[in-house]
Parts: sequence; C-alpha cells; structure tokens
Amino acid sequence: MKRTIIGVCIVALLAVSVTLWARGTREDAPREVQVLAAMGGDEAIAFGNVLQRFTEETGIPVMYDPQSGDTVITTANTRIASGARLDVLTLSRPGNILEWADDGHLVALNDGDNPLVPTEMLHDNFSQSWLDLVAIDGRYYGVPLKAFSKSVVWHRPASFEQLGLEYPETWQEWMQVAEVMADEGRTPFVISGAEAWTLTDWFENIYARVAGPDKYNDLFIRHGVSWTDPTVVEAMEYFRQVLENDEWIALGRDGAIGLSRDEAMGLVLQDPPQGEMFYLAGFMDRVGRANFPHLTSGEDYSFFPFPQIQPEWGNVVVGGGDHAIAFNDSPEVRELMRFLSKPETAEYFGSQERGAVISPNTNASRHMFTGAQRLEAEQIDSAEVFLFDGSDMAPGAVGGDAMFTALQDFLMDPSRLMESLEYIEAAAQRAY
Amino acid sequence: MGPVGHNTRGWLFAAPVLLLVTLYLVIPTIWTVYFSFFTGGFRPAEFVGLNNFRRLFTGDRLFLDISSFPWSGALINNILWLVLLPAGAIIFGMTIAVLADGHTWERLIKIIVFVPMVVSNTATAIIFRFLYNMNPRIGFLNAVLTNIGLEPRPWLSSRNYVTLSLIAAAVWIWTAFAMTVFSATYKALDKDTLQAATVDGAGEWQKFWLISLPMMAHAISFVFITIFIQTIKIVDLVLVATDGGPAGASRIIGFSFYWETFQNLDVGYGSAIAVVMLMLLVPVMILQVRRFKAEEQ
Repeated sequence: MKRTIIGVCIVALLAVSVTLWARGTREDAPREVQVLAAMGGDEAIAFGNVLQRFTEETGIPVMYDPQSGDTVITTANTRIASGARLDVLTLSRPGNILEWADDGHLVALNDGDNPLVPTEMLHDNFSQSWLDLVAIDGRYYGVPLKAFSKSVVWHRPASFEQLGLEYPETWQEWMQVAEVMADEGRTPFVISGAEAWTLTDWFENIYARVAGPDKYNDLFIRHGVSWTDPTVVEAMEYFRQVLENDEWIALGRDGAIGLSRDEAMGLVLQDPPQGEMFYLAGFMDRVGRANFPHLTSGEDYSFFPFPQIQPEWGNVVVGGGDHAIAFNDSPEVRELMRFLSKPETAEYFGSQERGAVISPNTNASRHMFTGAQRLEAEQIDSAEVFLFDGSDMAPGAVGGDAMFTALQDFLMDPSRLMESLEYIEAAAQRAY
Repeated sequence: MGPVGHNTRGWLFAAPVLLLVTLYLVIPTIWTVYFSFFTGGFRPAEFVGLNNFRRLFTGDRLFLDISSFPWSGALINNILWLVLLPAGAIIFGMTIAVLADGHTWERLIKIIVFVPMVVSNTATAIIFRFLYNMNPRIGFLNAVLTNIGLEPRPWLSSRNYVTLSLIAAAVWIWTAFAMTVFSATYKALDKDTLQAATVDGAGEWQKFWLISLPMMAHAISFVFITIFIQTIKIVDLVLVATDGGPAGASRIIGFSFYWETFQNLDVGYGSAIAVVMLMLLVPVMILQVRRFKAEEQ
C-alpha cells in the first residue's frame, strides 16, 4: 500500500512538472531562432552585434552560426535533408535561394493574412530589382541585407597625378592609360587569379558592358545565350587585350594565377607599388584599412568605376549582396525578419566600427560611411542598372567550377579563348 | 562450454564492432555504389547506368585526359603521387634514420625531422603556400632563387610544377613517419650478424645493402602500404594549397570526389569517383590482409 502511494505521488509530480515545463516553453519563453549566416571575419562579428541588438530589443534569443560561403550551402542542405531545424539563413546566391523556394523549403515573406513581412514594408524599403532577385510569381523570399559593388578599380591617386593621367571612362581610354603607365616603366595591372571568382567578375563586368543587362541575365540565369555566342567571344576578346601583354601584369601571368586577392591589393598599396590598377570589389577596402593602417581610404588609395564599353547600356554596376531567407514560420522568425527589414537595423549594421556593410535599404542613411566605402555606397545608389554577380546566379557546376577552370586556363594562355568557352558551354549543357 | 557456445560468445564480443562497421562503413559504401548510377543531388533523381563512369573516363579532361601527351588529369596526378610520395618518403626517411643513428646530434636531428608529423595538413598547405609564393618578397624559395640571380618560378601556379611541388610538401610530412619506423627497426637489428659481417671484412655500404636493408623489408612494406593508402585519401593538402588549380591542374582523385559532391552537388558523379577510389584501394587491402595472416602463422 505504502509503495502504491509513493508511486502515485511520483507519477503525479512528474506529470505536473512536465505540464509546467511544456507550458513554459510554449507560452512564456520565446523560442530561440536558429540563424546560419554566410559571413566571415569582421563582418560576421558585426552581424552578431546586429542579432544581439535584436535579442535586447525583443527578448528573443538567437543561436547564431556564421560560416564561410563555401560551406554554408552544404550545411543548409544537410540540415534540410536531415530535418534538423534551421530558421533563417543569409546568403549571396539567389540561384540557390530560388531552388530552395521551388522545392518548398522556404516561407514566402509576403504570403497569407499574417505574412512574415508585409508587402508594403518591403516595397517601402527596397528597390524592386533587389526583391525580384529572389521572387517567384510576386512572392518574395528574401530580405535584402547587404550590397556591394564589384565594378571597382583600386589604385593610388598619387600615381595618376604623377603621370598626369585622367581617370578613364571608356575601355579605350583605359587601355591608353595602361599604355602610358607601361611606357613610364610601371606595371599597369594587378590581377588575382588564385581564387578564380575574381576572374569571373572581370568577365561579368565586360560582358554586361558589351551585351547589356538582358543578355547578361539570359546567359547566367537561364543559359538562354550560348557560351560560344559572338557577344561572349567579343567580351573575351576585350579581356584578352588586358591579358595578352605579359609585361602589363604584375608578376606576369604565371604570377597572377597564384595571387590571392589580399596579396593583389597589397601589391598596389605597398611602397613602392608593384602594380598600379587592381580590379575587384568594394569590400577590398577592408583589406586596405586592416593591412595598411597608415594609408587613408579614399585619399591614399581609392577606386574609379569599371569603364564603359558600349555607351548604350549606360552606367552599369555589377555587384552582389546577401538576402536573409526564412525556412520556418513562427512569431519569433517574423519578429527577426521584420527587424532585418527596418532602415534602423541597416544603419546599425552600417555603423559598426569594423565589418560595416552597405545595405540595399533605400531609407537607410549613408552618413556613417567614410573613405572608399562612401564612394561605393554612392556608386550603388546611383547605378542606372545594377546587375547581380552572374556566376553567383548560375548553377554551382557552371559559376563555381567550369568558369573557374576555363578562366584560369585563359589567364595562363590567352590564345585558348575558344577552348575556354567551349569548356564552359559543355558544363552549362549538363547543368541547366 | 561446447563449440556452439564458444562461437556465440565470439560473435557477442565482435557484435559492437560489427555494428559500427556496418553502420558507418558497409551501409555508406553500398549507398555510394548505388548513388554512382544516378544523377541529381543527395536524393537520386534519374538512373543513368554507367554514364557517370563513362563521363569520368572519356568526357572529363580534369579527371583523365589522354588526348595529348603528356597525359594529365586527377587520375594521372594521383598515379604520380602514388609513385613519388612513398618512394620519396622511404628514401629520405631511410637515409636520415641510418645516417643519424649513433650520431652525437641524433636526438636533435630526429626532433627536427619529426616536427611535420604533428603539423596538420591544412597548416602544411598554408606554410608551403608562403614558401612557394611567386613574389620573392613573400616566397622563401623564390627569394633564394632571385638572390642567386635566377628568375622566380611559379611553383604552385604552373601546370608543369604544381603537382610536383605539392608532392614535395607531402614528402616533407611523411619522411618523418618513415624515419621514425625505420629508426626503431634499425636499432633493433641483430647486432651479432652485423658484427660477423664486419669480421668477415664487409664494408659499411655492403653491410647496409646486403644485410640491414633485407632485414628491414617488413618495415619498408609497412611504411609503403600506410603511405600508399594515405595518398589515395588526400584532399585537404590540395584543397587548401591550390583549390585544385591552376585550372584544375593539381586535382587528385580525393579532391575531385569532394569537389564534385559538395561544390557542384553532383552527388552521383562524385560517388562514381569514390567508387574508383575504392577500386584502387582494394588490391592494397587484400595485400594487407594477406600480410596480417602470414604474420599470424
């Protein structure tokens, strides 16, 4: 008898505590939001501060996991396949985002009666082109979080002054500038080919200016244009004008193929410079600030926009950026997605001392940016056509592999123009 | 206890290991073979028969290109690795083990040679990226070359050098392993035989070549097989040092498998590469098992 009483007491106690615990997790404490972000270095820390602020404002805890862009897609795919929870992800590859949306893994932001983020809020804060990058039939799948320009040519303004050179606005002028520099015993170009995406960005900038936005998107998103199309060949011929003079390239073509982007930036900024002009992205400013603290960004080193080729396409900027996407619908995720859509959040992210990013939010103030980052923000805001990084919109086997191999091949031996393009075309035929 | 009970107890002892091996080795292997006949991501989409293998051997010049001489591709590179890495490590390891033996500074020499063994492949890759850097201000090797009046060489960025440069880095690591094994074996050799040879008038070279080396045959085959298996599995060194570049010129099988599966998400194709890797390992495994059995008897 005594035993039975004790047994009943234990069971009752257990039942009560389980009920209390369940009530507690369901109603009282908000559920933790799991955030995976394709961010590294200072930027990962800066975004961590943004999420920290979210937790302070709302009391919703966040489990934050920043990873490199290479691994984040694998991690996300593994979590999807295994059923492990993942609420919010930030990523710079609209191609992958649309694939997930198509497969039904994502929650549309502006769908239903109680949407994650109301359509008006998105339209108020972001331009249509940014939303369209991750839209299917009017449903938006990502909050634009970060923007950067990849139409940027880094240089030292002092070099241009010494040689009495003007900044080139057209391709022809640019090649003339290079010739003058070479004649004066300088090495005009620094090209980094070790991480091959730097070469895909070169090609994208030329192609956008040769063939215009429609063909550009056709080529990368749908493979509606063949890689052996005359426009593609023409763009590669422009690129070849830069590559074919081995003396024009710092350390020569053999050296360029092994040069990382940080080293390449260093060659321009070091004293004396080993090369004069380094084409890449606005975010290289961070390397300048970190590794050359005695130089002033925007003065000792700066950038001019990638010159025009066909004037009919106007002021084109090729760039990239991240979107935040949601895999689950819950009140906590809703709070976070709305928080990330606010201009105040964008400004807070932009005013981080290190790792600040430029937001695509049109209502966010730009006053906090200095030096070259201010120029970059202006370039993004004033772009007549903003084109998203093409290789990031193409399937991985094309934009992350075949293009890498083919363009490195082309850099080592610029006479292999057609072979390089045929190689990409073969991969594209398999991938689309 | 009768023979049946004995048997049951044996199985019971083996059960935990059998379970783990089945769960983590047998089932994934069967899955991989199954995947290799399909296209699509981690969920097989379309059965394509042997198409993945056909593409691997005839349609993927980064895996195998025999259209022009010299042949190239990940498979050829891997064969080069399999020949040069064990050979290099064994020759250097043996030389150091024998020459350092009994030397005043034996300990110091061995400590220095052993260091790479405790450095991870990732760290080694980064060290050698600096060492090989084309810019003489950064790259030690090219700094030496330019100081003696030669042109800097693109160690990691030329098709002709990149695989050899990476193998050299790996030899640096595995020499340590070979030296350790050989040194221990060398010290344990039967001193009477060697003394008898000295009395009979054999020189140092003859003693080494005709007596010590044959007596160390077992150790050499152990070192060879260990390094051989490790070589087929290498991914990290190549991934970190060159990303398989330039233009895919330094890929090896393990790298291609990783790249196709996780970078391109072409899981069927990646699995086909894994199957080829397995095929390469089977003869070595058979050899190894036979050796174990011979030793037991």
